[in-house]
Amino acid sequence: MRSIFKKINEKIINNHSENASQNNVSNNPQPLHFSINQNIIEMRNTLGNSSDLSIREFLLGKNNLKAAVIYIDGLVNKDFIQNYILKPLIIEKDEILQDDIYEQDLFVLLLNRVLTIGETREVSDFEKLYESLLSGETILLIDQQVKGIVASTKGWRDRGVEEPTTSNVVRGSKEGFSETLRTNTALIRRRIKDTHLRIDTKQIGKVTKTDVAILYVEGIADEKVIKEVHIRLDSINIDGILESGYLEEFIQDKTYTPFPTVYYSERPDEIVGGILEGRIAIIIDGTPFVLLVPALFIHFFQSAEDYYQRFDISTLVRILRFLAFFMALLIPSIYIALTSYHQEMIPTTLLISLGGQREGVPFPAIVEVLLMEINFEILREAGLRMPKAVGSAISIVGALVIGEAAVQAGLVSAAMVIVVSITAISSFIFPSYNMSFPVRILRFIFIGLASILGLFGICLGLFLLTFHLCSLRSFGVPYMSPLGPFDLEDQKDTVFRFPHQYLFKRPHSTGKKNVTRLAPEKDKGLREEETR
Amino acid sequence: MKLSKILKLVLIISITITTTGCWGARELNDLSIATGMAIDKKQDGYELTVQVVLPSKTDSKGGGEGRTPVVTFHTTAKTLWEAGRKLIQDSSRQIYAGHLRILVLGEEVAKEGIEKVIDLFFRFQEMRSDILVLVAKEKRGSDILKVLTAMEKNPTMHLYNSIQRAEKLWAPTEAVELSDLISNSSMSGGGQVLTVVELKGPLSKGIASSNLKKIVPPTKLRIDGLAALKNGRLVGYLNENESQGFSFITDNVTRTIGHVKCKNGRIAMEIFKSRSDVKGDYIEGKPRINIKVETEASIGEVDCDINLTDPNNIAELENKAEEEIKSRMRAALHKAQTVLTTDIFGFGEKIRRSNPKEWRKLKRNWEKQYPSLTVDMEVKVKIKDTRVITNPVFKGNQK
Repeated sequence: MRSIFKKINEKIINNHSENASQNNVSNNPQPLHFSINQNIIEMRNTLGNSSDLSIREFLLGKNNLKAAVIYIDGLVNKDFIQNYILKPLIIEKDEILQDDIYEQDLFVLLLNRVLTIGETREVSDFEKLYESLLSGETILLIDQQVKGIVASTKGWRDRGVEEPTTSNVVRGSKEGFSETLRTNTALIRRRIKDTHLRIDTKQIGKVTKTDVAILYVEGIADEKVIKEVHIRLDSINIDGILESGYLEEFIQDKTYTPFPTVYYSERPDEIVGGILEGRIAIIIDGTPFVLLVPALFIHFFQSAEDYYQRFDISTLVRILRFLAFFMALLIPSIYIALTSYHQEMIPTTLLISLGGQREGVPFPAIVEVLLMEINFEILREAGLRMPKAVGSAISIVGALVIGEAAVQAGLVSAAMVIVVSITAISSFIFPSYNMSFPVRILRFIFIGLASILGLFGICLGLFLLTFHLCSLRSFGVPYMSPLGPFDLEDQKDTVFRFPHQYLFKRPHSTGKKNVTRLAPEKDKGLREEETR
Repeated sequence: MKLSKILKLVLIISITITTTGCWGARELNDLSIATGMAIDKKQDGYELTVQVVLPSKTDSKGGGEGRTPVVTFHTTAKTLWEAGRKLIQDSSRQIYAGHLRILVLGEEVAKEGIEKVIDLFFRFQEMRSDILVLVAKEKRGSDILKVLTAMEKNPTMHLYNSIQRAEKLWAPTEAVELSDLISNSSMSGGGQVLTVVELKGPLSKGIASSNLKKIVPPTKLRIDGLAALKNGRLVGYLNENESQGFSFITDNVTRTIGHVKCKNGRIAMEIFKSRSDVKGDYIEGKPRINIKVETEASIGEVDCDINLTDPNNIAELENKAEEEIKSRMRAALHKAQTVLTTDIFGFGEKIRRSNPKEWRKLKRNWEKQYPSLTVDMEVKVKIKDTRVITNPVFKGNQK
């Protein structure tokens, strides 16, 4: 199966590289022209005279040098341009810009004495110029100069920091990431006030030129993994990145697996928690979903709130989640296996009652299960995408399809409705929504196995699933650790959540360096003092 | 080339999925679930009676008010296996024996020997090993499955539940499972017991639905005593006392109630813990059996004037209780050793284990030796408490 995919892929890649080599353009950046008019014409040509391109021309100094302020409307904060660029240049220029100023010093003078904007730099070629311009910066061009000034005036409509919609908590921070990269890095910076927090930035996407930031704490995160993240991100050669999902597929270790090997979250506290464990966050501009690698199997069963709540309830909830994982995965298939192959395993009274419910149901159990499961998947998918206005209509119809009406119509047995409902509820318990995808996919495989081979088929499937899970890796870390390669110390924070004062160390699987999280002796001393 | 590979893959997948014929798959509504089975003699063959549940009648929605939730089919054939398959002539569905709970043997069959009929139940993979095996006292097995019972809609479930509970609370009952028959038959000695079910009242009234409409049902099924088998053949029945003695010897008492006499009345005690230890031994070349029984009891009912705060009185009661238990054990031993001459206690096995070499010599004339086997017993009763009150509330007319 995979080899077929690979072969098709290779063929496509080969074709691509041929094309690429044919129209390979020379990479030398084109320098700015000496004349401002020529520069402006060139820019207008390149940008196709776009309506959002604003060029404000004016005269500078007593020499009446021609100058222009260029920006993209909508990406800039116009007040900034007005107050800190145009105003000083046009109104206050005369006191400073005297005749006797050498032309070479013009830039130094402007930067030092005139422009009151925070972040400025010089630009001398068109490629850099466009990059700055299109990311919301303002360009100041002056006639007879082969360079320009870039002033950071980014400012656009932003959703702002709002409560995350995908992962809600009862207790904990209500802040969620937004679509702006800078806001997102700030949210993390606000939580880690340490000099070792590193933010490496790069641009990915030939057309979209999306900003991507890699965040980690130096000294905690494994350098090998950091390097690996850089290598994998650098090797991406695509025209556009619209969402973190693009990157996720490119950087994951194995493509053909239903299991996610990259974690994502909309919650800064969760991401910070990951960074403190030695993991690496990847923020992509334009999406509130921040990636976290390496991501292990157990991470998808842990929620940020586990650490905010008391340890006992957190442990209980975690056990529940693992239970729900198996329930969502196996209940329909076990139902099929038991009712059509292993009737002797059902308690007599239950068997009789199940048998009574099945009287008059025209389909075999497998058809019944598939009918209901597919129905439910359709309802779920429809519920996600439909306009809000028709929501109530769908939920009424849904209740009819999966409910008492289906039983009364004699299409399915009452027990089947319960099976499907339990499965459906169980698949929603995971704190990470993407863990429910493998469960949804594999459920159907298990249903198929159970209908052909009974419990034997389910066991076979579980064997293969275990093999597969153990073969997975996320950025070199075994996916099932600390369960797969068993680590006793890490069990404190896997299925169980020990009280914080016992979690001395960072998880071994991700935080190999600087493992101590908490100084136990000091803590103990404090406690004793308190009790005295 | 590439296409053919994909084609092959698709072919393999479709063939594996479509041609594995779901071997052994059966839908619930294609089965008739048998819960009870009875075997009787019929000329030179067997009559097989199977009681199956009607799921639609036992449904919680209560569709079948006033109708029996079970139906009984019976056929006759030379062998049981044939008879079982012939049932399809009467039933529209395949009989499913995986949930069989009760096997009732007619008295005639039991007298002729259970090993003739029991083979099928070990051989057939659908059968459980925890089926309870009963003997219908002085009746045909099929009669038992015809009686309507009040507490449970399903007569076999009635029998099953009452045996399971009685075994825990009432010493004379012993639940004999199919697997016990296997393990017992491989033991030396050749004796065996089976649970006995008795039909109280006329059969003709028991099979009518009026049996359920009366507050006092005229016909009842009762679990009573034990049947003793010798080399697989029914040789006689143990009464209540003897059965209780049997249970004490074979360490099968979980809880039971008995009484001892005092001055002018009786004191009932509940035994809530009993442990017996049977040891075989050779003393001066002769086999001997030593039974040690240790029980713990509590006083449950007192209708005579006695001071229970006096330790001497308690000790006296303990002695009386020990005597009582001993007398029951003696009754069981007497019945088994001299009247029925069958080693239902498994003494032969105990002796074999203590001295296998000697047993090989003894084995040949075990049947002759067994009735005169010396059995020593030692019973210890400990009264642990007197429940809520200590002394009787009403001192009576004595003072």
